[in-house]
Amino acid sequence: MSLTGTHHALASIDEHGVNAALHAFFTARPHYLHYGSPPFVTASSTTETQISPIAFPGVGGGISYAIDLTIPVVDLYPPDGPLPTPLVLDPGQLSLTTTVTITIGCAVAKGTENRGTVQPVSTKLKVVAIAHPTSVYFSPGVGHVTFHVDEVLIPDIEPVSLRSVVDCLIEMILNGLLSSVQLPFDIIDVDFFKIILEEGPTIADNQIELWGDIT
Amino acid sequence: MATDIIAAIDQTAANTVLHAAESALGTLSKTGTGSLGPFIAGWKASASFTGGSVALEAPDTVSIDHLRVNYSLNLKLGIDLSFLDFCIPQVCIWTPWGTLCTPTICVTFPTISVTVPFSTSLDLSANFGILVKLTGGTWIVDVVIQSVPTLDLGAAATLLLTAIGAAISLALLAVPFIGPFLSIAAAVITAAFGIAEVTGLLGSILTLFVSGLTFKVWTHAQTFQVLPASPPFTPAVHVLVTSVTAGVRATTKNELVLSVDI
Repeated sequence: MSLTGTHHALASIDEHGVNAALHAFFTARPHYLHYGSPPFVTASSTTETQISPIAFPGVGGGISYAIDLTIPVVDLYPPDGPLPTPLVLDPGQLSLTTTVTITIGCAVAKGTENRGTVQPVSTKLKVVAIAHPTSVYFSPGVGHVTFHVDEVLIPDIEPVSLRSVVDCLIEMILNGLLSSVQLPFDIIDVDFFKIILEEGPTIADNQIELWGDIT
Repeated sequence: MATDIIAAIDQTAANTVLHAAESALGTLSKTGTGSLGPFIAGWKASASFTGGSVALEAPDTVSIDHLRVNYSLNLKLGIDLSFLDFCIPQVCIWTPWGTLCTPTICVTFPTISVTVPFSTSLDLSANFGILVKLTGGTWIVDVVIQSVPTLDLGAAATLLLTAIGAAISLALLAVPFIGPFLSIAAAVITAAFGIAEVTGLLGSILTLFVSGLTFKVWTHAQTFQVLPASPPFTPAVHVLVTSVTAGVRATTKNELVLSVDI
């Protein structure tokens, strides 16, 4: 079986390549992994992104919070190992594993010695998500592949309704995060050619593949 | 361990890549000297490459048929016309008033410079190998001609010989006092070399362009920017290319495959 199939060109990047690219991306731009409202993040920088606290009546200054993620690790179909039930990785999909740390600035109760300050309270959640790749194509050789999360599972949260809330919250956070993550065609075709995208991105054999013609 | 990135093209796309590499190579120029019979010819030459049909052969051969070599020559011949030099000896005649003598008259002819511009093309078919190298922080994949094929120069040599003859005749016309000797001079000079010598000179010049002929089909910085910076908080993203291999993979189609690890 030829690599290019019915097309004239193939560009593919495997699981290790995707993870290397993600590592390079988040190492250069760690502010996509670290979000916080004051006092956790006092100003946006290359390492952190400042967000607004959650406004709530009666809570002066709002509820401060921070969200920190580890660099996501991608597993392209077929899966390297079993996924937490009930997640299933189908052809064309990838799983994404990260650890999300959610920190709340817990207001110290009145009457205590440190009243008026916030005490960070954190929880670390190991997150497994199922996602699929999408592409944005502008012109030959110009475009990128990005990912969209379809399903999130955070094991061991009870009751189920709480898990649903947290799953949805994390799915929104991950999709927000991934909207900034792009694999430009440049890294997949390594500028060997300028691909005119005809098919893809697809995932098979631990690779993300693009097919097309070239200019 | 699997390769991180694979970029593969079939023969149709390989033609596109080759033709782009031909354009990128541009026009090559060389200068030198060569012999043309008893004469030394200085030359300036330029050549460019277009067209050709690519066939890929596993494991690492790129065969190119009918690659067109467009070339221009500017030959410069220095022709010493001293073989035409002559003297009219002194002649003395007795007269009643004494002996009258004519002076000895010598005519010397210069060395003339003949410039011959010449342009044409030839078709070349050859096998090229694939060479991957890392030079000065840049990965390069070249296709390099494996050996110089026989160049069919017959028609071009005939045209060049005619052009040289015409240029010599034109140059001789400008030489003072050559009038009566023009045909003799032209005959002597053009008899000094023939098609074999012209073919030899042309072949030696074109071989310089064809020998080691290299088309760069891929160059890539070892550390390359994947995403540009977007100030103030978003630095550029760079990736390091740690290894590259290239070759021809033969399955249901023959494909040129670039394998890259990052």
